Amino acid sequence: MLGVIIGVFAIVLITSIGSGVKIEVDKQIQGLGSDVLFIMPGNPSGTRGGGMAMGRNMIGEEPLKEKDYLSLAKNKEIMVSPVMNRNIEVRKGSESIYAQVIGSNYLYPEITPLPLKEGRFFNKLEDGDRARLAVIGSTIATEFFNGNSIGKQVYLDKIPFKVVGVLKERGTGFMGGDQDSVVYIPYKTLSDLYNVENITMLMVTPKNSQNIDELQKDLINEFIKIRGKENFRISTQAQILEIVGTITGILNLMLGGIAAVSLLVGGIGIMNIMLVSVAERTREIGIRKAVGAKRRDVLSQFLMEAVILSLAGGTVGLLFSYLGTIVLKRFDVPSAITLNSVVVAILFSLFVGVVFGVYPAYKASSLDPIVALRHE
Amino acid sequence: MNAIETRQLEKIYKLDSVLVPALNGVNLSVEFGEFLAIMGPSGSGKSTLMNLLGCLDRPTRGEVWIRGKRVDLLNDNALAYIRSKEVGFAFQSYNLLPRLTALENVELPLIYQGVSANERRKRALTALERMGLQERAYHKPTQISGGEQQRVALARALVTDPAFILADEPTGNLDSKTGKEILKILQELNKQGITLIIVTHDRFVGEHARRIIQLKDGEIIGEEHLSSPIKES
Repeated sequence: MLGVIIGVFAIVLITSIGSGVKIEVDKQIQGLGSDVLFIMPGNPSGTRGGGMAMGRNMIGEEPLKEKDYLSLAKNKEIMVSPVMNRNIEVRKGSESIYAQVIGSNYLYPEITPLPLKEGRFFNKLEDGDRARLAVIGSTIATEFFNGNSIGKQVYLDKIPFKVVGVLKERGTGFMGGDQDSVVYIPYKTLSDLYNVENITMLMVTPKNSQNIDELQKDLINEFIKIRGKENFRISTQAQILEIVGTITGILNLMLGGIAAVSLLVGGIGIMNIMLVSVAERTREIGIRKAVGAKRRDVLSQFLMEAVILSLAGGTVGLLFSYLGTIVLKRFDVPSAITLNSVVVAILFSLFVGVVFGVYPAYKASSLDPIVALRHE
Repeated sequence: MNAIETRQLEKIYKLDSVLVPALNGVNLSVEFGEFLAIMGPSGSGKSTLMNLLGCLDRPTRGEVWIRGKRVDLLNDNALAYIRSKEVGFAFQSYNLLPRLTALENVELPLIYQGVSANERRKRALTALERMGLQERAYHKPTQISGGEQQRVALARALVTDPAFILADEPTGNLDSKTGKEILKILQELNKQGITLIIVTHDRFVGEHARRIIQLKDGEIIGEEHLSSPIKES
């Protein structure tokens, strides 16, 4: 019974996390705009490091430098923004938190949607000026300024910055990480004041609408000329999301394994309960047979009982997984119980009940009525 | 046509490699409306004969006919159907299902005949009324006395309108007063035309029937017709 509960719990969680992630990812695709290309250092086949190694360069990879960006920025067909990042202590008065500080240029909000709640992003002039201007995430704005933050000062590692914009609440990013505890500053400011030399990635979007796959090919050729060889990767939004999909797929596989083992254990448990029940009710079976129960009557009776037992386990499991998704949401793991997962849970517990109920039921139905009636 | 008839009935049990004959050529005919007692000491083959008459078992050789139909060659399912349709059992230990109410216990054979729920309820209530138990219909076996339990068992035997009722030591677990009550009920049922076969080792119980056959070592060794059976009033 416990096994069935755990098994169904695992199955429902898998499917609900799966569909939750899918919903979230779909939202992200729409949120980021589909015609963005990401240029990252690394092996062009894209297997090593993955699209996830943001902010860290793998050993042996040739990092992206400012000159790469400046060369690429000469291309008039596209908009490019470098993305640098570093964790820096953000302080206001006595309060401080460590936040992801992202350095970009003024084009960043045009490449990928970055909705502002109030204020503005830094402009081209300020960008070139190494201005100490910050656009802060909603969590920082709420915690430090109680919402009233435009024009105030924050200290990034003891250097004062003026807040010019506050982002709308965005939740967890599809690559993990709290998107509301970030600070955007001009990339030159970040590199000069905090000694950040490497560019994590370049984000590119065409100025005029253009086929993204063609642009990807063109950019690869162009960037090979800039870098001298193909020691970088250019991925589309979809390709990065594919990697995310692979990872959730692996997670699902693992949970699936747990579910399978639990259901097996649960099934054996049910079989044991039913075997004990058959032994205890031998006399009942004898009586039923004496008054005319056929083999299939007894068989179906005990099979039904096994299925009901298993369905009860499944229902409890379903209940637990409902609570589980509530807990997961607290931890910002996207999950949603869908009709699908409920149907899957019910089908699985039905399946377990039938498979593991057959043997005890068969045993009950084959009892000799005379022997069964004599049983004390 | 007889209610039940056996021809050269033989039953041999195989215990390990030893063959143990339990019945040896029993010929028995019971007419409709009869009240027969099968008597004999333990080991005489009473239980074996009862199992064969009740279609719980098949003979090694010989034939069993119920209501003009040969049943010893039927398969398990068909035999189960005959049991529910033609045989009414009453056991020494009542054999009611403890988790079911009296009414549900009486309904049980009808369930296996596929009778509809409404019809089942109606017939079971009628049978319980016939046993004077309408007020006990919703009691469980543990909530009623031994005599009442045996009456529920008789109602269960009656409800299918069987060819005969087969009662195995029906008073064996009861005190003598309650036992006499049950015997009285059996005689009344017989007066109403129900065919009864009781299996007993108790001479007093047997003498309530109108015919007694004596069984010993698997054979019928004697038969008596009682002109005036003991009357319970």
